[in-house]
Amino acid sequence: MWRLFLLVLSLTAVSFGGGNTLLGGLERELVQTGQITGEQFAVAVALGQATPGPLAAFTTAIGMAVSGLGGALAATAALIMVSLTAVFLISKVPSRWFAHPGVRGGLEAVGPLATVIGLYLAGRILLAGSLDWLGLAIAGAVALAKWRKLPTAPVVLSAVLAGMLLY
Amino acid sequence: MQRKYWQLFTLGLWLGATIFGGVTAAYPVIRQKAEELGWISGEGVDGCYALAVVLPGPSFLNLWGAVSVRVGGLLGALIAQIGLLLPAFTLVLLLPLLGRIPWIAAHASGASAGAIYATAGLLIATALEGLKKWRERWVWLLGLTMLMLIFVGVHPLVLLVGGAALGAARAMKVSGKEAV
Repeated sequence: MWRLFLLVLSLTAVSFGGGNTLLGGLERELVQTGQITGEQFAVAVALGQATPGPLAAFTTAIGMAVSGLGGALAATAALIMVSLTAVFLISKVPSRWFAHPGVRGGLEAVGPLATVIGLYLAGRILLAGSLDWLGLAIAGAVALAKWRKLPTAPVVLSAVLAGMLLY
Repeated sequence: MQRKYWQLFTLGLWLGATIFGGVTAAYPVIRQKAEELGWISGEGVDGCYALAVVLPGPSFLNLWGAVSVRVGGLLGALIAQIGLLLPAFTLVLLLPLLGRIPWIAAHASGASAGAIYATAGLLIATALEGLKKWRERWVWLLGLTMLMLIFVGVHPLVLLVGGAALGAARAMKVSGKEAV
């Protein structure tokens, strides 16, 4: 549990550019080391996406998959700690630092990186399961719905329901 | 002050239970509520938003933290963030209990399959949005990152830090040329 806390803490502390960067690190450290399966990981991410509040609630769900209630608490506490520390420290930093070309250039580069990490993760998740046409159709429909800006939670729940009825 | 802590907690709880869609959906609601309650001005919340999206960590949590730290200090921000995460935390704990319903239990593997493909679909959609936005300016970085992930197995964290350093160096070089 302590290890999970430190893992989420360290990955969140460098997760600029959205949840995909955090997801990429968690997948690498938890799935590729055999602590949870790819299926558990993907289900936890879907569970986190289907709940209201911050999208990063998937971290709580992943913590739950790794070591139950303690894991969920550890992962959530790590998220809060990083965010609180960042918000507090940044209130002490002069705002002109953010206008420095180096800082802006570094932050701008993180967005494209997060995009590629997300695409790579999607490929790994699809290839880890028993890939079939029906699954690809569900993934495609979800991608299209998200692309058209439909709300995430009903889309995820519809995909889960489709899986239950069709598999 | 205790009244402010209570307000931060209950508003956090309400935001955490009703907002779907992350920081984009939360931003206008937090802005409106902060103004209504007389906490900080709309422009103040705009500043918090600009900060939230560049800080590490979840942007929604950062935005709510940046607003609440101005209202109730560090303790207020902690209370506010606990309130925000509590609904999702409770749901994550409770949703697996649905598996005890016989019909759901009988279709558990189908539910897992649906969830897995949903996750892949969501990641693909987010990535496509990013590709559309960045394909022209950052195409070299996009291609290089994918090659490193697939063929070299580089840790995403290393890519992130390395990419940010490259981006910073490139921006400083461009800025230096413009200054000359």
